[in-house]
Amino acid sequence: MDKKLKRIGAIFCIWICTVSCEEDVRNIAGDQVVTPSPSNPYSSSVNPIDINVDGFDFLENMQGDWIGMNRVIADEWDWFAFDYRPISPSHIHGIFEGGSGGNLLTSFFVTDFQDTRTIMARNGGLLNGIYRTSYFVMDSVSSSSLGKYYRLVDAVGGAATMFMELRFVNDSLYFNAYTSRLGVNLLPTRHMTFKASKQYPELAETAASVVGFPENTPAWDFSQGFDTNFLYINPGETSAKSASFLAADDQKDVFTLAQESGDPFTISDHPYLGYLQVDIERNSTIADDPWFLYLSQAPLTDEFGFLTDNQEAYNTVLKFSNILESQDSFTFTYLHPGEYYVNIIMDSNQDGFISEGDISAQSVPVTITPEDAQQITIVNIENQN
Amino acid sequence: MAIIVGCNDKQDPVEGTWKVESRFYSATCEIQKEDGYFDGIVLSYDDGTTSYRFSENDPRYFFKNLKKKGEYYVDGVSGATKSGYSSDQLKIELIATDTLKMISMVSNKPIEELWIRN
Repeated sequence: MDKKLKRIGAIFCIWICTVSCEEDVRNIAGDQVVTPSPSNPYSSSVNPIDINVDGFDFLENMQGDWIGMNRVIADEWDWFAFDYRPISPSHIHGIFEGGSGGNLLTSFFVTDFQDTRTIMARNGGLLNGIYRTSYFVMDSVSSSSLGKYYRLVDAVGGAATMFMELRFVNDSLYFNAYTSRLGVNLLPTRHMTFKASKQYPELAETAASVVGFPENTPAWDFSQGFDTNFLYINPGETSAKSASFLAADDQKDVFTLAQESGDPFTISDHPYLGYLQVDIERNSTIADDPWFLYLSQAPLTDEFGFLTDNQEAYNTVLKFSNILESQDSFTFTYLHPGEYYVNIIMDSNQDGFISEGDISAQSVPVTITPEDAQQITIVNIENQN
Repeated sequence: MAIIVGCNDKQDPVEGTWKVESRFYSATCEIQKEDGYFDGIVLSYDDGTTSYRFSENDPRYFFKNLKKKGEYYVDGVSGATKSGYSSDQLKIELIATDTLKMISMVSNKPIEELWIRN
Protein backbone atom coordinates (compact mmCIF):
# COMPACT_ATOMS: atom_id res chain seq x y z
CA MET A 1 0.00 0.00 0.00
CA ASP A 2 2.84 2.37 0.86
CA LYS A 3 4.48 1.91 -2.51
CA LYS A 4 1.22 2.49 -4.28
CA LEU A 5 0.52 5.65 -2.40
CA LYS A 6 4.02 6.98 -2.95
CA ARG A 7 3.64 6.42 -6.65
CA ILE A 8 0.31 8.15 -6.72
CA GLY A 9 1.75 10.99 -4.72
CA ALA A 10 4.65 11.37 -7.10
CA ILE A 11 2.28 11.39 -10.03
CA PHE A 12 -0.11 13.94 -8.66
CA CYS A 13 2.04 16.27 -6.60
CA ILE A 14 0.53 19.64 -5.88
CA TRP A 15 1.37 22.53 -8.07
CA ILE A 16 -0.17 25.93 -7.74
CA CYS A 17 -0.25 27.91 -10.96
CA THR A 18 1.52 31.21 -11.04
CA VAL A 19 1.23 33.95 -13.59
CA SER A 20 4.93 34.58 -13.73
CA CYS A 21 6.44 34.12 -17.17
CA GLU A 22 10.05 34.75 -16.41
CA GLU A 23 13.25 32.98 -17.36
CA ASP A 24 13.19 29.24 -17.65
CA VAL A 25 15.39 26.31 -18.54
CA ARG A 26 18.34 27.24 -20.63
CA ASN A 27 17.19 27.84 -24.14
CA ILE A 28 19.83 27.73 -26.77
CA ALA A 29 17.36 28.20 -29.60
CA GLY A 30 18.69 30.91 -31.83
CA ASP A 31 21.64 31.85 -29.65
CA GLN A 32 24.15 32.99 -32.19
CA VAL A 33 25.62 35.92 -30.36
CA VAL A 34 27.72 35.10 -27.35
CA THR A 35 28.18 38.55 -25.97
CA PRO A 36 25.41 40.56 -24.39
CA SER A 37 23.47 42.47 -26.98
CA PRO A 38 20.60 44.92 -26.47
CA SER A 39 18.59 43.49 -29.37
CA ASN A 40 15.99 40.78 -29.65
CA PRO A 41 17.01 38.18 -32.22
CA TYR A 42 13.44 37.05 -32.80
CA SER A 43 11.28 38.73 -35.42
CA SER A 44 8.31 40.87 -34.45
CA SER A 45 6.67 40.39 -37.83
CA VAL A 46 3.63 38.15 -38.16
CA ASN A 47 3.31 36.16 -41.36
CA PRO A 48 0.48 33.62 -41.23
CA ILE A 49 0.82 30.23 -42.89
CA ASP A 50 -1.78 29.56 -45.56
CA ILE A 51 -3.25 26.26 -44.45
CA ASN A 52 -4.76 25.77 -47.88
CA VAL A 53 -1.15 25.01 -48.82
CA ASP A 54 0.14 23.28 -45.68
CA GLY A 55 -0.56 23.14 -41.99
CA PHE A 56 -4.22 22.21 -41.84
CA ASP A 57 -3.22 18.72 -40.68
CA PHE A 58 -2.11 20.28 -37.40
CA LEU A 59 -5.61 19.96 -36.00
CA GLU A 60 -5.74 16.23 -36.59
CA ASN A 61 -2.24 15.76 -35.25
CA MET A 62 -3.10 17.65 -32.07
CA GLN A 63 -6.14 15.65 -31.07
CA GLY A 64 -5.61 13.07 -28.34
CA ASP A 65 -5.03 12.59 -24.66
CA TRP A 66 -1.37 13.56 -24.40
CA ILE A 67 0.24 12.00 -21.34
CA GLY A 68 3.82 12.68 -20.40
CA MET A 69 6.00 14.94 -18.30
CA ASN A 70 6.00 18.69 -18.04
CA ARG A 71 8.20 21.48 -16.80
CA VAL A 72 6.70 24.95 -16.41
CA ILE A 73 9.21 27.59 -15.42
CA ALA A 74 10.99 25.66 -12.65
CA ASP A 75 8.19 23.29 -11.61
CA GLU A 76 8.18 19.74 -12.87
CA TRP A 77 5.54 17.03 -13.12
CA ASP A 78 6.53 13.42 -13.64
CA TRP A 79 3.00 12.84 -14.89
CA PHE A 80 0.96 15.39 -16.79
CA ALA A 81 -1.86 15.28 -19.31
CA PHE A 82 -3.51 17.56 -21.85
CA ASP A 83 -6.75 16.10 -23.17
CA TYR A 84 -7.26 17.57 -26.65
CA ARG A 85 -10.59 16.94 -28.35
CA PRO A 86 -12.49 18.70 -31.12
CA ILE A 87 -15.27 21.03 -30.01
CA SER A 88 -16.39 22.08 -33.48
CA PRO A 89 -15.51 21.12 -37.06
CA SER A 90 -12.41 23.35 -36.94
CA HIS A 91 -11.57 23.93 -33.29
CA ILE A 92 -9.66 21.70 -30.87
CA HIS A 93 -9.39 22.34 -27.16
CA GLY A 94 -7.27 21.31 -24.17
CA ILE A 95 -6.98 22.68 -20.64
CA PHE A 96 -5.02 22.07 -17.47
CA GLU A 97 -7.39 22.65 -14.56
CA GLY A 98 -5.23 23.30 -11.54
CA GLY A 99 -8.11 23.90 -9.15
CA SER A 100 -8.07 26.76 -6.65
CA GLY A 101 -4.94 28.25 -8.21
CA GLY A 102 -6.49 28.49 -11.64
CA ASN A 103 -6.23 26.94 -15.06
CA LEU A 104 -4.29 27.16 -18.29
CA LEU A 105 -5.77 26.40 -21.68
CA THR A 106 -4.62 26.38 -25.27
CA SER A 107 -7.07 25.84 -28.09
CA PHE A 108 -6.34 25.79 -31.80
CA PHE A 109 -8.79 26.78 -34.51
CA VAL A 110 -9.15 27.69 -38.16
CA THR A 111 -9.63 31.35 -38.93
CA ASP A 112 -8.95 34.07 -41.47
CA PHE A 113 -6.25 36.50 -40.39
CA GLN A 114 -4.33 39.03 -42.47
CA ASP A 115 -6.17 37.87 -45.60
CA THR A 116 -4.95 34.33 -45.03
CA ARG A 117 -6.78 31.14 -44.10
CA THR A 118 -4.69 29.96 -41.19
CA ILE A 119 -4.67 28.39 -37.73
CA MET A 120 -4.55 30.43 -34.57
CA ALA A 121 -4.18 29.48 -30.93
CA ARG A 122 -6.01 30.90 -27.96
CA ASN A 123 -3.90 30.54 -24.83
CA GLY A 124 -4.51 31.71 -21.29
CA GLY A 125 -6.78 31.11 -18.38
CA LEU A 126 -7.74 32.39 -15.00
CA LEU A 127 -4.83 32.26 -12.58
CA ASN A 128 -4.99 33.65 -9.07
CA GLY A 129 -7.66 36.15 -10.05
CA ILE A 130 -5.94 37.29 -13.23
CA TYR A 131 -7.71 36.63 -16.51
CA ARG A 132 -5.46 36.46 -19.55
CA THR A 133 -6.04 35.42 -23.12
CA SER A 134 -3.32 35.61 -25.76
CA TYR A 135 -3.64 34.84 -29.45
CA PHE A 136 -1.01 33.17 -31.58
CA VAL A 137 -0.87 32.55 -35.32
CA MET A 138 0.83 29.73 -37.16
CA ASP A 139 3.82 31.09 -39.04
CA SER A 140 5.95 28.03 -39.74
CA VAL A 141 5.39 24.46 -40.89
CA SER A 142 7.94 21.89 -41.95
CA SER A 143 8.23 18.16 -42.46
CA SER A 144 11.23 15.89 -42.14
CA SER A 145 12.19 12.41 -41.10
CA LEU A 146 11.90 13.75 -37.55
CA GLY A 147 8.19 14.38 -37.97
CA LYS A 148 6.07 17.45 -38.55
CA TYR A 149 6.95 20.77 -36.97
CA TYR A 150 4.71 23.80 -36.42
CA ARG A 151 5.37 27.17 -34.83
CA LEU A 152 2.80 29.68 -33.65
CA VAL A 153 3.82 33.22 -32.70
CA ASP A 154 2.14 36.07 -30.87
CA ALA A 155 -0.41 37.54 -33.29
CA VAL A 156 0.75 41.11 -32.59
CA GLY A 157 4.35 40.92 -31.40
CA GLY A 158 5.47 37.86 -33.34
CA ALA A 159 8.17 35.53 -32.03
CA ALA A 160 9.86 38.52 -30.45
CA THR A 161 7.11 38.49 -27.81
CA MET A 162 6.32 34.80 -27.46
CA PHE A 163 5.90 31.65 -29.44
CA MET A 164 5.17 27.96 -29.16
CA GLU A 165 6.72 25.09 -31.07
CA LEU A 166 5.17 21.68 -31.55
CA ARG A 167 6.61 18.64 -33.22
CA PHE A 168 4.78 15.40 -33.83
CA VAL A 169 6.60 12.18 -34.60
CA ASN A 170 4.60 8.96 -34.65
CA ASP A 171 2.54 9.10 -31.44
CA SER A 172 4.85 11.52 -29.64
CA LEU A 173 4.50 15.25 -29.08
CA TYR A 174 7.13 17.81 -28.15
CA PHE A 175 5.44 21.05 -27.11
CA ASN A 176 7.76 23.89 -26.06
CA ALA A 177 6.66 27.44 -25.27
CA TYR A 178 8.70 30.62 -24.94
CA THR A 179 7.52 33.83 -23.29
CA SER A 180 8.78 37.29 -22.46
CA ARG A 181 6.15 38.40 -19.92
CA LEU A 182 4.10 39.90 -22.77
CA GLY A 183 7.09 41.83 -24.04
CA VAL A 184 8.36 43.14 -20.71
CA ASN A 185 11.49 41.01 -20.95
CA LEU A 186 13.83 41.75 -23.78
CA LEU A 187 13.32 38.40 -25.43
CA PRO A 188 11.36 35.22 -24.89
CA THR A 189 12.83 32.35 -22.94
CA ARG A 190 11.60 28.86 -22.21
CA HIS A 191 8.36 28.72 -20.28
CA MET A 192 7.04 25.20 -20.83
CA THR A 193 8.60 21.92 -21.90
CA PHE A 194 5.99 19.21 -22.44
CA LYS A 195 6.88 15.77 -23.76
CA ALA A 196 4.08 13.29 -24.20
CA SER A 197 2.63 10.37 -26.09
CA LYS A 198 -0.88 10.05 -27.45
CA GLN A 199 -3.12 7.71 -25.47
CA TYR A 200 -6.82 6.88 -25.42
CA PRO A 201 -7.40 8.23 -28.97
CA GLU A 202 -11.01 7.14 -28.82
CA LEU A 203 -11.84 10.16 -26.64
CA ALA A 204 -11.00 12.60 -29.42
CA GLU A 205 -12.28 10.32 -32.16
CA THR A 206 -15.70 10.17 -30.55
CA ALA A 207 -15.87 13.96 -30.31
CA ALA A 208 -14.64 14.32 -33.90
CA SER A 209 -17.45 12.10 -35.09
CA VAL A 210 -20.05 14.13 -33.22
CA VAL A 211 -18.93 17.61 -34.32
CA GLY A 212 -17.83 16.71 -37.87
CA PHE A 213 -14.14 17.42 -37.33
CA PRO A 214 -12.01 18.39 -39.19
CA GLU A 215 -13.18 20.97 -41.67
CA ASN A 216 -11.26 23.84 -43.21
CA THR A 217 -13.80 26.46 -42.21
CA PRO A 218 -13.31 29.39 -39.81
CA ALA A 219 -14.28 28.64 -36.24
CA TRP A 220 -13.99 32.34 -35.43
CA ASP A 221 -13.58 35.43 -37.57
CA PHE A 222 -10.35 37.37 -37.10
CA SER A 223 -10.27 38.78 -40.62
CA GLN A 224 -10.48 42.30 -39.19
CA GLY A 225 -7.72 41.63 -36.68
CA PHE A 226 -8.03 42.82 -33.09
CA ASP A 227 -9.67 45.85 -31.56
CA THR A 228 -6.51 47.62 -30.43
CA ASN A 229 -8.47 49.52 -27.80
CA PHE A 230 -8.59 46.36 -25.72
CA LEU A 231 -5.11 44.95 -26.27
CA TYR A 232 -3.04 44.92 -23.10
CA ILE A 233 -0.29 47.52 -23.03
CA ASN A 234 2.63 47.15 -20.68
CA PRO A 235 3.04 49.89 -18.07
CA GLY A 236 5.09 52.78 -19.40
CA GLU A 237 4.54 51.85 -23.02
CA THR A 238 2.21 53.31 -25.62
CA SER A 239 1.42 50.34 -27.82
CA ALA A 240 0.74 46.66 -27.36
CA LYS A 241 3.50 44.14 -27.85
CA SER A 242 1.18 41.19 -27.58
CA ALA A 243 -2.24 40.02 -28.74
CA SER A 244 -3.25 39.69 -25.12
CA PHE A 245 -6.31 40.67 -23.13
CA LEU A 246 -6.14 40.99 -19.36
CA ALA A 247 -8.40 41.69 -16.43
CA ALA A 248 -7.82 41.15 -12.74
CA ASP A 249 -10.17 40.84 -9.80
CA ASP A 250 -10.14 37.86 -7.49
CA GLN A 251 -13.78 38.49 -6.55
CA LYS A 252 -15.11 38.14 -10.09
CA ASP A 253 -15.80 35.05 -12.15
CA VAL A 254 -14.42 34.11 -15.54
CA PHE A 255 -17.49 35.38 -17.39
CA THR A 256 -17.28 38.87 -15.91
CA LEU A 257 -13.51 39.12 -16.33
CA ALA A 258 -13.76 37.95 -19.93
CA GLN A 259 -16.05 40.85 -20.72
CA GLU A 260 -13.90 43.34 -18.85
CA SER A 261 -10.73 42.21 -20.61
CA GLY A 262 -12.17 42.87 -24.06
CA ASP A 263 -11.32 39.33 -25.11
CA PRO A 264 -13.02 38.91 -28.49
CA PHE A 265 -13.50 35.15 -28.09
CA THR A 266 -14.76 34.32 -24.62
CA ILE A 267 -15.73 31.14 -22.86
CA SER A 268 -19.37 31.82 -23.69
CA ASP A 269 -18.54 31.72 -27.40
CA HIS A 270 -17.19 28.18 -27.20
CA PRO A 271 -19.53 25.49 -28.46
CA TYR A 272 -19.99 21.95 -27.21
CA LEU A 273 -18.11 22.27 -23.89
CA GLY A 274 -19.83 21.85 -20.54
CA TYR A 275 -19.54 22.64 -16.85
CA LEU A 276 -19.48 20.48 -13.76
CA GLN A 277 -19.85 21.84 -10.25
CA VAL A 278 -18.60 19.48 -7.56
CA ASP A 279 -19.63 20.10 -3.94
CA ILE A 280 -18.40 18.12 -1.00
CA GLU A 281 -20.10 17.44 2.30
CA ARG A 282 -17.52 17.70 5.03
CA ASN A 283 -17.62 15.86 8.34
CA SER A 284 -15.71 16.65 11.51
CA THR A 285 -12.75 14.46 10.49
CA ILE A 286 -12.11 16.38 7.30
CA ALA A 287 -13.35 19.78 8.37
CA ASP A 288 -10.09 21.60 7.63
CA ASP A 289 -8.55 19.48 4.90
CA PRO A 290 -7.57 20.66 1.44
CA TRP A 291 -8.60 18.16 -1.23
CA PHE A 292 -7.74 16.59 -4.52
CA LEU A 293 -10.45 16.56 -7.14
CA TYR A 294 -9.79 14.28 -10.09
CA LEU A 295 -11.86 13.34 -13.11
CA SER A 296 -10.88 10.03 -14.64
CA GLN A 297 -12.08 7.46 -17.11
CA ALA A 298 -11.76 4.63 -14.59
CA PRO A 299 -12.68 4.82 -10.90
CA LEU A 300 -9.74 5.53 -8.60
CA THR A 301 -11.39 3.72 -5.69
CA ASP A 302 -12.54 0.17 -5.12
CA GLU A 303 -16.07 -0.81 -4.23
CA PHE A 304 -15.42 0.14 -0.61
CA GLY A 305 -14.21 3.63 -1.41
CA PHE A 306 -10.51 3.01 -0.83
CA LEU A 307 -7.91 3.91 -3.44
CA THR A 308 -7.63 1.15 -5.97
CA ASP A 309 -4.64 -1.11 -6.51
CA ASN A 310 -5.29 -0.95 -10.25
CA GLN A 311 -2.36 1.16 -11.42
CA GLU A 312 -3.75 1.60 -14.90
CA ALA A 313 -6.72 3.49 -13.44
CA TYR A 314 -4.44 6.35 -12.42
CA ASN A 315 -3.26 6.78 -15.99
CA THR A 316 -6.84 7.50 -17.03
CA VAL A 317 -6.98 10.71 -15.01
CA LEU A 318 -8.07 13.62 -17.22
CA LYS A 319 -8.32 16.46 -14.68
CA PHE A 320 -6.14 16.71 -11.59
CA SER A 321 -7.09 19.67 -9.47
CA ASN A 322 -6.05 20.79 -6.00
CA ILE A 323 -8.64 22.56 -3.89
CA LEU A 324 -8.00 24.71 -0.86
CA GLU A 325 -9.31 23.82 2.57
CA SER A 326 -11.46 26.96 2.48
CA GLN A 327 -13.49 25.66 -0.46
CA ASP A 328 -16.30 23.12 -0.35
CA SER A 329 -17.13 23.56 -4.01
CA PHE A 330 -15.36 23.73 -7.35
CA THR A 331 -16.59 24.15 -10.91
CA PHE A 332 -14.90 22.67 -13.94
CA THR A 333 -15.21 24.92 -16.97
CA TYR A 334 -14.40 24.14 -20.61
CA LEU A 335 -15.21 20.49 -19.87
CA HIS A 336 -15.34 18.04 -22.75
CA PRO A 337 -18.60 16.09 -22.97
CA GLY A 338 -18.14 12.47 -22.01
CA GLU A 339 -18.18 10.03 -19.16
CA TYR A 340 -16.08 10.62 -16.07
CA TYR A 341 -15.58 9.36 -12.58
CA VAL A 342 -15.46 12.08 -9.93
CA ASN A 343 -12.79 11.24 -7.34
CA ILE A 344 -12.40 13.08 -4.04
CA ILE A 345 -9.36 12.52 -1.85
CA MET A 346 -8.85 14.71 1.20
CA ASP A 347 -5.23 15.65 1.83
CA SER A 348 -5.69 14.82 5.47
CA ASN A 349 -2.01 14.82 6.39
CA GLN A 350 -1.60 17.98 4.30
CA ASP A 351 1.64 16.83 2.71
CA GLY A 352 0.58 17.98 -0.74
CA PHE A 353 0.39 14.42 -2.05
CA ILE A 354 -2.07 11.59 -2.10
CA SER A 355 -0.52 9.48 0.62
CA GLU A 356 -1.18 7.13 3.48
CA GLY A 357 -3.75 8.55 5.85
CA ASP A 358 -5.63 10.56 3.24
CA ILE A 359 -9.37 10.07 3.24
CA SER A 360 -11.32 9.22 0.08
CA ALA A 361 -14.90 8.85 -1.03
CA GLN A 362 -16.09 6.24 -3.46
CA SER A 363 -15.67 7.37 -7.06
CA VAL A 364 -18.93 8.57 -8.59
CA PRO A 365 -19.74 8.31 -12.33
CA VAL A 366 -21.07 11.33 -14.16
CA THR A 367 -21.93 11.95 -17.80
CA ILE A 368 -21.46 15.39 -19.34
CA THR A 369 -23.48 16.07 -22.45
CA PRO A 370 -22.74 18.88 -24.96
CA GLU A 371 -23.18 22.36 -23.45
CA ASP A 372 -24.25 20.69 -20.22
CA ALA A 373 -24.09 22.28 -16.76
CA GLN A 374 -24.27 19.74 -13.97
CA GLN A 375 -23.88 19.72 -10.24
CA ILE A 376 -22.95 16.82 -7.99
CA THR A 377 -22.49 16.56 -4.24
CA ILE A 378 -20.04 14.02 -2.84
CA VAL A 379 -20.90 12.69 0.60
CA ASN A 380 -19.51 9.98 2.86
CA ILE A 381 -15.90 11.06 2.52
CA GLU A 382 -14.68 8.78 5.28
CA ASN A 383 -12.37 6.06 3.99
CA GLN A 384 -8.91 6.48 5.43
CA ASN A 385 -6.26 4.90 3.22
CA MET B 1 55.78 13.83 -22.59
CA ALA B 2 56.77 15.63 -19.45
CA ILE B 3 55.55 18.89 -21.01
CA ILE B 4 52.18 17.39 -21.86
CA VAL B 5 51.75 16.05 -18.38
CA GLY B 6 52.73 19.42 -17.05
CA CYS B 7 50.05 21.13 -19.13
CA ASN B 8 47.41 18.58 -18.09
CA ASP B 9 48.24 19.23 -14.48
CA LYS B 10 47.17 22.82 -14.95
CA GLN B 11 43.83 21.90 -16.44
CA ASP B 12 40.95 22.86 -14.23
CA PRO B 13 38.83 19.88 -13.15
CA VAL B 14 35.69 21.22 -14.83
CA GLU B 15 37.32 21.50 -18.23
CA GLY B 16 36.35 18.85 -20.74
CA THR B 17 33.26 17.36 -22.32
CA TRP B 18 30.11 16.78 -20.31
CA LYS B 19 26.79 15.05 -20.95
CA VAL B 20 23.69 16.66 -19.44
CA GLU B 21 21.46 14.37 -17.40
CA SER B 22 17.97 15.68 -18.15
CA ARG B 23 14.60 14.14 -18.89
CA PHE B 24 13.60 17.20 -20.90
CA TYR B 25 16.45 17.50 -23.36
CA SER B 26 19.72 15.85 -24.38
CA ALA B 27 22.93 17.83 -24.66
CA THR B 28 26.69 17.69 -24.51
CA CYS B 29 28.89 20.60 -23.55
CA GLU B 30 32.56 21.43 -23.78
CA ILE B 31 33.80 23.55 -20.89
CA GLN B 32 36.86 25.58 -21.81
CA LYS B 33 38.96 27.98 -19.82
CA GLU B 34 39.84 31.24 -21.52
CA ASP B 35 41.81 34.02 -19.83
CA GLY B 36 40.79 32.76 -16.41
CA TYR B 37 37.11 32.50 -17.28
CA PHE B 38 35.07 29.40 -18.16
CA ASP B 39 32.84 29.05 -21.21
CA GLY B 40 30.35 26.23 -21.82
CA ILE B 41 30.19 25.54 -25.55
CA VAL B 42 27.21 23.55 -26.81
CA LEU B 43 28.38 20.52 -28.77
CA SER B 44 24.93 19.06 -29.24
CA TYR B 45 21.41 19.88 -28.10
CA ASP B 46 17.97 18.42 -28.76
CA ASP B 47 14.79 19.29 -26.86
CA GLY B 48 12.35 17.89 -29.38
CA THR B 49 11.80 21.10 -31.31
CA THR B 50 15.29 22.63 -31.33
CA SER B 51 18.16 20.49 -32.54
CA TYR B 52 21.73 21.75 -32.82
CA ARG B 53 25.19 20.41 -33.56
CA PHE B 54 28.24 22.54 -32.97
CA SER B 55 29.27 24.68 -35.89
CA GLU B 56 32.18 27.10 -35.92
CA ASN B 57 30.03 29.48 -37.93
CA ASP B 58 27.21 29.28 -35.40
CA PRO B 59 28.67 28.67 -31.95
CA ARG B 60 26.21 28.54 -29.07
CA TYR B 61 26.90 28.59 -25.39
CA PHE B 62 25.32 27.27 -22.23
CA PHE B 63 27.18 29.98 -20.35
CA LYS B 64 29.99 32.47 -20.71
CA ASN B 65 32.58 33.95 -18.39
CA LEU B 66 32.14 31.85 -15.28
CA LYS B 67 34.63 32.64 -12.54
CA LYS B 68 36.02 30.21 -10.03
CA LYS B 69 35.13 31.23 -6.51
CA GLY B 70 36.14 28.72 -3.87
CA GLU B 71 34.47 25.43 -4.71
CA TYR B 72 32.04 27.04 -7.13
CA TYR B 73 32.05 28.55 -10.59
CA VAL B 74 29.73 31.54 -10.67
CA ASP B 75 28.78 34.88 -12.19
CA GLY B 76 28.42 33.76 -15.78
CA VAL B 77 26.19 35.31 -18.37
CA SER B 78 23.86 32.49 -19.27
CA GLY B 79 23.85 31.28 -22.83
CA ALA B 80 20.09 31.07 -22.56
CA THR B 81 19.71 34.49 -24.04
CA LYS B 82 21.48 36.91 -26.28
CA SER B 83 20.78 39.55 -23.75
CA GLY B 84 22.88 41.17 -21.13
CA TYR B 85 19.68 41.63 -19.20
CA SER B 86 19.15 37.98 -18.50
CA SER B 87 18.36 37.31 -14.88
CA ASP B 88 19.55 33.72 -15.11
CA GLN B 89 21.99 32.97 -12.37
CA LEU B 90 24.27 30.03 -12.83
CA LYS B 91 26.41 28.12 -10.43
CA ILE B 92 28.51 25.01 -11.00
CA GLU B 93 29.77 22.73 -8.29
CA LEU B 94 32.16 19.86 -8.90
CA ILE B 95 30.62 17.19 -6.70
CA ALA B 96 32.81 14.32 -7.96
CA THR B 97 35.66 13.95 -10.40
CA ASP B 98 33.25 13.13 -13.18
CA THR B 99 30.10 14.86 -11.99
CA LEU B 100 29.06 18.50 -11.98
CA LYS B 101 26.00 19.94 -10.33
CA MET B 102 24.60 22.76 -12.46
CA ILE B 103 22.24 25.10 -10.65
CA SER B 104 20.18 27.65 -12.59
CA MET B 105 17.92 30.11 -10.80
CA VAL B 106 14.62 30.52 -12.63
CA SER B 107 12.09 32.92 -11.15
CA ASN B 108 13.99 32.61 -7.89
CA LYS B 109 13.65 28.84 -7.97
CA PRO B 110 16.62 26.54 -8.56
CA ILE B 111 16.78 24.01 -11.35
CA GLU B 112 19.46 21.45 -10.59
CA GLU B 113 21.02 19.20 -13.19
CA LEU B 114 23.85 16.72 -13.10
CA TRP B 115 26.43 16.81 -15.85
CA ILE B 116 28.46 13.62 -16.32
CA ARG B 117 31.91 13.64 -17.89
CA ASN B 118 31.64 12.24 -21.39
